[in-house]
Amino acid sequence: MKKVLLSVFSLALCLLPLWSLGAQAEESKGSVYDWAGLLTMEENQALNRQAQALEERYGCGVYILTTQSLEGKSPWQFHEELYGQLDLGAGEERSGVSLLLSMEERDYDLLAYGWGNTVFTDYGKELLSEEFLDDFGEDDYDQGFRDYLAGCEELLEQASLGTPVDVGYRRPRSFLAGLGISALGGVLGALGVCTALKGQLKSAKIKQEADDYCQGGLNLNLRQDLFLRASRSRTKVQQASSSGSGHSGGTRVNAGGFSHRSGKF
Amino acid sequence: MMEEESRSYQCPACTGPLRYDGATGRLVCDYCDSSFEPRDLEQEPREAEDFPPTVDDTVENAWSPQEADALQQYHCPACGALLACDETTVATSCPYCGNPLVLEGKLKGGLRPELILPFRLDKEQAKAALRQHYKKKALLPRAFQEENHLEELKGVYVPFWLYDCRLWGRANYQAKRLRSWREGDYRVTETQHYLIRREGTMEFSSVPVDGSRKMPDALMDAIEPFDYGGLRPFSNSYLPGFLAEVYDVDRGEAAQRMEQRVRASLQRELRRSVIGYEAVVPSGQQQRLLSQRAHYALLPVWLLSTRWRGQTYLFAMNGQTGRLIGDLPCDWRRYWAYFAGCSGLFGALILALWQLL
Repeated sequence: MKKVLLSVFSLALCLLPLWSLGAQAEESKGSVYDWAGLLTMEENQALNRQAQALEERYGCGVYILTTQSLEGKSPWQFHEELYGQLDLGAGEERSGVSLLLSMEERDYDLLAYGWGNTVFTDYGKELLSEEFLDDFGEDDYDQGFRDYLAGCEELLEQASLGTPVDVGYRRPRSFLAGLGISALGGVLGALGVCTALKGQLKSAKIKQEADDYCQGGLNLNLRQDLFLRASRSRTKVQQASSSGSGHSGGTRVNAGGFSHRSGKF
Repeated sequence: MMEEESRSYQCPACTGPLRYDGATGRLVCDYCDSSFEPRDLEQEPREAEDFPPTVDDTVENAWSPQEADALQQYHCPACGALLACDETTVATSCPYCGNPLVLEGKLKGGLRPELILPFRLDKEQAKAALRQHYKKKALLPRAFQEENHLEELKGVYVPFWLYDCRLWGRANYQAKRLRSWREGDYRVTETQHYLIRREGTMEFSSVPVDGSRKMPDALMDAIEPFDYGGLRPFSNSYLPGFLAEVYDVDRGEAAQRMEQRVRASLQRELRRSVIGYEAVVPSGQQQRLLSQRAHYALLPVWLLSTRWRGQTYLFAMNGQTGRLIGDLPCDWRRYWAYFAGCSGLFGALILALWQLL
């Protein structure tokens, strides 16, 4: 009997944090759950409005979650449980994408569910994470979340056109940037051509060397290559999976119907 | 002003003036079409005739003392006119009768060249080379080709010092060789540091340096190289029909330019001998001239000058190889038109690639 009571008590202790988060979620009711307190009220509201606008436009929930601790779980496990606890997702499929930051070990997890798995392919998640990781690395959380939402919008837009971003996707380039680069390239190219044409007009030059009059080339009397010392440096090799080149396309979905991209920031 | 001895080569058949013809290598008479081997006419110059002075030496201020020192006067043996030349001129022609003159008095002692490279190309070939020089120059003003006229065209034997020398050099370099391999998840890069020593000699033969201050060095350098296979022992008989100068830059002064050039060549060759390294930085060098010998030679140069919009353009052509050098004016309106056109073309191309790729 004692053992049974102890087991029930232990289970209750384990479920308590989830219950408390769920309780907090009930209070928040939105797309941004900043339990780690990384955002100001104004930032939180602005991000929330932007995320909900995306959900309304594309029918796919877009969420931001922050927490101080993962409570001993892996980021993806904690994130999946939270997604269920908070009843996140839009529509019958509960489609959505969610970004979780845990401040304890500076972990992040990007999760997709339902139609979100189609929109946010493994390659798309990698592109998306590149948008915000540099900001989080500098502790600029508001900018990082804004970049995240902007990236989500781009991926959702592409998916809504029937071509989700996947391996081989080429990001549309800014016409203005192209105009600037082409103007600069044009001027440099023209300068090269005109300099060459003007060079045709100038043929009188002082000679600096006397190679035409050398008899038999260099006669070497001494040829010494003395080894002095050696120094070594080691650089960690980037794994192929994080470089993007290892993607074969599509989305790897686990048994629970979720797909993830995790790492440190 | 000193009066010196001059000589003209006259045709033994008709006594007309002879000139050296580069194409045939003979002295030719334009009046009776006779031609002669230069060595056949080598003879002691006849006694200068005692022409009366044609200018009144008592006229005050005809020449300043400096000008008078720099000028020397001669009598044309054909028409008797009194001519004035600067101190470096040794061959010229009479402006009154066109008779070619060789001022032999100046070609004695140390001023007598050892060698001469006779002209191989003639005046017409020089003109043709200049016309060719104008071609395929997109920025050359059209009006320059149409309006400019050849103002002067003269074949000049330019005094050159030809140096044979042997140069020794030593150079040290700091060099790096890189090696890289993978150990587990790490890329290991090993940098090996070396001290490189090189020492060697180089020999140069007949490095030319012009010995005339009047000749622009850039022009004289740019018409190189000459084919020294055509060098002959100096003889006055190669001079008729051309201008000729004696040096006014002595061999010591000219040697400085030669040294700059040979040292640069040795330095580059020593550096080229260091191979197999990813980075090489020079850390010290020494050079010494082991031996040096100078020959004094006259080399053939056609000088052409044109005038356009108040400015004189000077061209030089190697009288042996035909290499013609000379700076040309730029049509700036056309330059900017090309600039705008190329900017637009390249810009459009880059923008199209930007959008497509």
